[in-house]
Amino acid sequence: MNTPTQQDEDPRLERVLAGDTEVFAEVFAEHRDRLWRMVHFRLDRRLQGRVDADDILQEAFVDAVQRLEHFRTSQPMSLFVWLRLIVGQTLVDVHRRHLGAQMRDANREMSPQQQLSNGTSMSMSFHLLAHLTSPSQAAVRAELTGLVDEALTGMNEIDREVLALRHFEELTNKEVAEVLGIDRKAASIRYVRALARLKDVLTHVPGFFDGDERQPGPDA
Amino acid sequence: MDLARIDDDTFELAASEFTSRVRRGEVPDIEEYVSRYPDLSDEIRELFPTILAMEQTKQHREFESGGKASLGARKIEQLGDFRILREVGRGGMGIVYEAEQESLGRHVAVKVLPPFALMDETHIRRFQREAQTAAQLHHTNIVPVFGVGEDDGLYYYVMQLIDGRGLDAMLVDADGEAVDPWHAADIGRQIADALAYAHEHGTLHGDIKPANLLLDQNGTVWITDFGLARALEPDATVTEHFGGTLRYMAPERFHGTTDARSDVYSLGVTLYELITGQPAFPGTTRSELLRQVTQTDPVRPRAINSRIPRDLETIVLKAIARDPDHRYQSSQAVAEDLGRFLEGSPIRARRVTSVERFWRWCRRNPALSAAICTAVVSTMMVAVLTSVGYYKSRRVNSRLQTLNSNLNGLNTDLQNSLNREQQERETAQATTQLALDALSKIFNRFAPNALYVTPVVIEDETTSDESDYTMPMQPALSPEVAAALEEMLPIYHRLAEQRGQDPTIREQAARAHHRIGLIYQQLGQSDAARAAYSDSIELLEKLRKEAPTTNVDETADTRLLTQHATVLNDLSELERVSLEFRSAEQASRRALDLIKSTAEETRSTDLQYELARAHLSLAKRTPFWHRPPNSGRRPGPPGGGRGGPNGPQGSGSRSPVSVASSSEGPDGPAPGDFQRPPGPDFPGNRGGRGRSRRGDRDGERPRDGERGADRERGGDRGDRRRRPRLTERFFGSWDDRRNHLESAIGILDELSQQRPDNPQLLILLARCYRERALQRPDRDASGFEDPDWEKAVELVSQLTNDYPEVADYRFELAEMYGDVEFWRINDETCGRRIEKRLRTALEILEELVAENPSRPAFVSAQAQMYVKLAAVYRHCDRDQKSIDMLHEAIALHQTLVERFPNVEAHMIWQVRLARLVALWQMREGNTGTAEQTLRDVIGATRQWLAAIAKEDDVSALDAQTLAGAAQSVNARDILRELGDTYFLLATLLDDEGKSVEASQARSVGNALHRRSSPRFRMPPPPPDDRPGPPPWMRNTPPPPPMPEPLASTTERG
Repeated sequence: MNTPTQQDEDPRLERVLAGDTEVFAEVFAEHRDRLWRMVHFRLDRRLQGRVDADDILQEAFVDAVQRLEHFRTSQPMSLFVWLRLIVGQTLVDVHRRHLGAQMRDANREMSPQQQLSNGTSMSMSFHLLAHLTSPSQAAVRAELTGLVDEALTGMNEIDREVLALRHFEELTNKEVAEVLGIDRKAASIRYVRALARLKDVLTHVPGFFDGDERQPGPDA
Repeated sequence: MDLARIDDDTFELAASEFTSRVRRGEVPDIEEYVSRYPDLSDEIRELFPTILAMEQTKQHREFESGGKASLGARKIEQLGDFRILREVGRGGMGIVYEAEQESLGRHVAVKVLPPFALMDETHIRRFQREAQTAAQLHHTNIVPVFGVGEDDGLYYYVMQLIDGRGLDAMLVDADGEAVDPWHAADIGRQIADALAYAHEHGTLHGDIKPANLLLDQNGTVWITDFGLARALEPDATVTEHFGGTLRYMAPERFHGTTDARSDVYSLGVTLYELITGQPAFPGTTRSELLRQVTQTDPVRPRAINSRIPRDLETIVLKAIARDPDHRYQSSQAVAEDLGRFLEGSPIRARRVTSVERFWRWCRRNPALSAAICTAVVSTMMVAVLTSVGYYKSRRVNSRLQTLNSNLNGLNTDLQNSLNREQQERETAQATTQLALDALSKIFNRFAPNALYVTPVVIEDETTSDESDYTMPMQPALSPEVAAALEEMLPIYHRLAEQRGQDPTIREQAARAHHRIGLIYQQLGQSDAARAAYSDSIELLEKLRKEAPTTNVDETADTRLLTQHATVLNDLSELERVSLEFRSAEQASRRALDLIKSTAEETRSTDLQYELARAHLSLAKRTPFWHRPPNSGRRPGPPGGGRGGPNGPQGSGSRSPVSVASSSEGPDGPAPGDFQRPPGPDFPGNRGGRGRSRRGDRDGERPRDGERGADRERGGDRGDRRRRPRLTERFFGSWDDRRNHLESAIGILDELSQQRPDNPQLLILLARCYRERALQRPDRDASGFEDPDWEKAVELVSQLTNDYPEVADYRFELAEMYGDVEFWRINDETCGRRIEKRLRTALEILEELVAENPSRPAFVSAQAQMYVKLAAVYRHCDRDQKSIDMLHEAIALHQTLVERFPNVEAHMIWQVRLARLVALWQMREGNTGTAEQTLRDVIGATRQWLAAIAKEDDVSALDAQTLAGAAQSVNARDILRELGDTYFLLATLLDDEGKSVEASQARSVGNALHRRSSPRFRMPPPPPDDRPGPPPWMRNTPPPPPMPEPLASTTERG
C-alpha cells in the first residue's frame, strides 16, 4: 500500500485529530458529494425511496465524530478513505436495520468493504443499462440486462470494483488503490483493463455506442 | 490492448482530465486527446467512449434516486425571476417548486429539469418548441404553461400553481381502496375531454399517469406537464423512473409508434387503477413490466371489484386494448362514452364477447404456459362434457378442481356463454355445434393447419365477426400445447358417438389428428407426429369408404380426398426428414395415386396443389448414402438412385450391387465407411429432427406406409421379380425424377396464374426451382448465376417482403440459402460464395431464433448451418475456425437438449457433433483432448439416458443395464450412437497404446450395438476387417451429419 500524504496536504487535519468538530464538519462537507454518491450507488434498491442518502450521511457524520479516535489509530489512512469506511459501516447498519436477518446472515462474515462490493455487479449493470433510453432501446435493455450482468459477474471482482469506485464514486486512482489495498500502478492497470472489457460488452449493446446523439463516438 | 504501454501515468492523466471535464458538464472532443497523446491514440479511441458512458450513466442514475428527482448537492434559491419558496413535489422529470415570480408578485409552480436532460441544441430547441405549443392550450383541465427559462445550466418550466394533489398521492393514501366508480368516471371524463381538446390542437401528452394528474378542492382535474414528456423523449422520460412511467405506457410505444390512441390507453390504465385500487400491471421491475405491458392483459376490473358497473368496465377495457385498432379511436369517443355512462344512458362500446376475448388472448399469448393451457382446455372439456350430459362424472369434478384460479374470469365467462347459449337454443344439436366451434377455434389457434402458415382464411372457421382471421398466424408451439390438444381429441370422438357416429364430427376429428401431427412434427417428435398422421389417415380412409352410404353430400368425398392427400403428403415429408426415404416415397406415391384416381378436370385447386407436392416429393434426390432398411448390410455406399451429374444413372440401379458402384457423387469416389456428406435432404435441412425413434404405438399398429406397400405387393404384380422393382419403386430413376419435377412445375405454373398471390403455391414453386437447380448437371456448387436458384430465392424473398411477420417464409429463405452443396467446393471463389450463402442463412436464422424461441427447428437449422460452415472452413484449411463453428453448433444443440430433454434426436446430434470434433482433434494430434471430448459426451449421453430411464446412479450402469434402460424408453438410436462413440474411443485408445482400456471400450460398444434397433438391422461395424480409411474413421456412423469434406484426405481400400 502506498503511503497517503493527505496529512501533509491538509493542515486542518491536525485540528481534526485534536477534536475540532467544526473543522471536521468543514472537511466532511468537502467530501460530501462523493460520499453521497457512494451511498447512492451502494444503497440497496429495495431501500431506495425509503431511506434518504442525506440522512445516512448525517448519521455517518455523527458516527465519525464519535470515532475520531479510531481515525487517529488508523493512520496512515487518508481522511477521505476513512470517512468512506465510516459511511460504509453506517450503510451496512442501515441495510441491517431495514432488511433484517436475511442480510445479516449472508454477510456476517464479511468486512464492510466486502459487503459493499457484494452488490456491485447488480447495481452497476442496472446503472449502465439505464443509459439506454428510447422505448425500443428499453426493450432491448430488458433483454440485455442478463448479458451485461454476466459480463460484469465474469469480471474479476476487483476490476468491477475499480470501475465502480472510479466512476460512480468518483475516487481518484490513488484513493482506489488505498481502498482496495493494492499498488497504484496495479490499480491503474486494472482500471484500463476493466474499461476495455466493459467496452467489449457494451459494443454488443445496440445503440450504446451509436444512435445516441450526445455520445460522441471515436470519430466525433 | 497493450497494457504494458499503460504502465506510465500518461493514460491515467489523460483519462482523469477527460473524466473531470465530463463531470463539469463538458462534452470533450475525444480526437483532441488523440492529437495531444498520439502514443495512446488507440487506447483513447477505444476507451474514452466507455468512460463517457460510465459518467453519463452515473449522472442519469443520480438524478433518479429511487425514482425521484434530486439535484444531488445543489440547493436552489433563485432561478431568474423566480424565487424558490419550497419544494412541492418530485417527479420523474424534475423537481417542482413553489416559487414567487418577483416581477409580477405571483406564485407559480417551477419545474426544474434534470441537469443532463437537455444536453445539446436540438434538445433545447425541442424543449422550447414543445413548451410554446403547450402554452397555446387553454382548457379548464390543463395546467396553463407560462413559459420556460434557463439559469446557470438549469432549465425550468413555469406553470400555474394548482392547489391540488396528484392522483398518485391519492392512490397511495387510498392504500388499495378503489375510488368510487362514478367519481373515477367523472375524473376520466375530464381528462378525456382535455385530451380531446389537446389532440385537436395537434398536441399529444405522451405521459398520462396518476402523477401528472392533479385533483383540486373543487373536484377539477388538471393535466400537468403537457409538452414535457414529448420534449424530453426519448431521453429522460423513459430513462428515469421507468417503473412509474412504463406502467402507463401504451404497448405500441415500445415499437416506436405513438398517436392519440396511446394517450387513450394511458388514460384507460389510469382509470383502471382508480376503479380497482391496484395498478393494471403490478410488475415492479422494468423487465417484468415490459413483459406485462406488451404481452399480457390485466385482470378484468370486475374480478377485483364487483361494485364496478359493467359498462364502466367495458369502457376501461376498450380503452386499454393492446391493439390500438381495438381501442377507442379518439379521446373524444372516450369522453362521450364516459359521459353516457355517467348519465346512465347506454354506452357505445360493444362488450367484447368471451369467445372473442379468448380469441384475442390466444393470439397474443402464443407461448402459453402449460398451466394456463391445461386450465383452458380443462374448462373447455368441463363445458362440453357438462353440456352433453356428463356432468355427474367424477372426472369432471377432478377437472374442475384443477382449474387455474388466474383464469377464473375467463373460465366463468366461457362456461356462462356456453350455458347461456345452451339455454337459448335448448337443443343438444346446438350445444354440440357450439362445442365443436369452440374446439375448432382452439385448434385453429394452437395447431397449425399446415406446416407453412399462409395468410389464407382458415376453411372451417364458422364465426366471422373477426376480420383478422385472415392474418397469417404463427402457430403456437410447445410440447405442452400439443399434449393438451391431444387430450382434447376424445371430445371429438365422444361428440361423434353422441350423434351416432356423425361423419362431420369424425371428419373434424381427422383434421384435428392431422394438426396435432403437424405440431409434433414441428417439435421434432417424429413418432408422435407419425402416429397422429396415421390416425388421421385411418379415420379418413374409413370415412371415405363409408361415404357413399352415410353421406348424401357430394362435396364431402372431394373434401375428404383432398384432406387425405394432404395428410399423406405431410406424412411423406415427415418420413423424409426422418430419413425414412422408402416410407416417404410410399406415402407420396399413395397421394399421387389417390389424386390421379380422380378426373383431372374435376380437381380443385387444393387437390392440384397436393398433386404438385406429391410430384415434387417424388422428384427429390434420395441421398446416395441411404441404406434401404430391409436389404441388410451392403458392401459399399448403399442406396442411391441418385444419378451423377454426368448423366442419368438410374437405369443402372436395377440391381442393388450395381447401385452401389454407380452412386458416387460428382467429384470422385465416395470414401469407405465414412459417408460422404449428405445431400440437401439430410435432416438438418428440414430442421434437423434427426432420425426418428419409434413410438410404442407403432408396435401395436402397422404403419400405414407398410400397409400400403403390402397392399401393392399383394396385387397382381406380387409374383414378379421384386428386387429391381423395389429399387426402382423406392428410389426411382433419374428420368422419373425429372418428369416428376417438370410435372410439379407445370401444375404450379398453371395454378399460380389463377391465384398469383397465393404464397403457398409460390413457396412450393420456389422449392421446385431449387430442386431443379440442384439437379442441373453442370451446376456450380454455390448456385452462382443459376437461373433456377435465383428464381427460387426471388420468389421467397418477395414473400418475406410481403409478409415480414411470417417466420416460416423467412425460414424458407434461410433454407434456400443454406441448402448449398458445401462439399463440392471447386476453388476458393466457390468456397467464398458458399460461405456467404451460409452466412446469409445464419443471419436470417439468428433473427428467427430470437423472435421465435419456441421453435426448435430454427435453432436446429442454425446449428446445421454452423456444421456446414465448419465443413467449408475445413475445406479451406481454416481448421481452427472450423472447430469454432462446430463448437457453436454444439452449444446450440446443447440448448435444445436442455429444453427438450425427451427428444432423442437432439441428443443424437450432440453425440455426433462431439464425435466429429474428436475426430478433428485426433487428426491434429491432440489425442488427449479428443479422448476427453469423447469421454465427456459419453458421460453426457449416459446421464441423458439415465435421466430418461429415471435411473439415479449413472456411473454404476453397465452397458447391459444401460441398454435395457434405453430400450425401455425406446431410445435405440441413441444407443447405437453411444456404441459408435465407444468404438471411436477404443480406436483412439489403441492409438495411444492403452490397449486394455481400448478393449473395454470396444466391448461396451459391442454390447450396445448388439441391442441396436431391429428396424435398422445394423450390426456393429467390425472394427478391423477392412483396410483403407485411417483407423479413426472406421466406426463413424452411417447417416453422417458430418459435412466432412473428406474427399481429399481419404481413399477407399
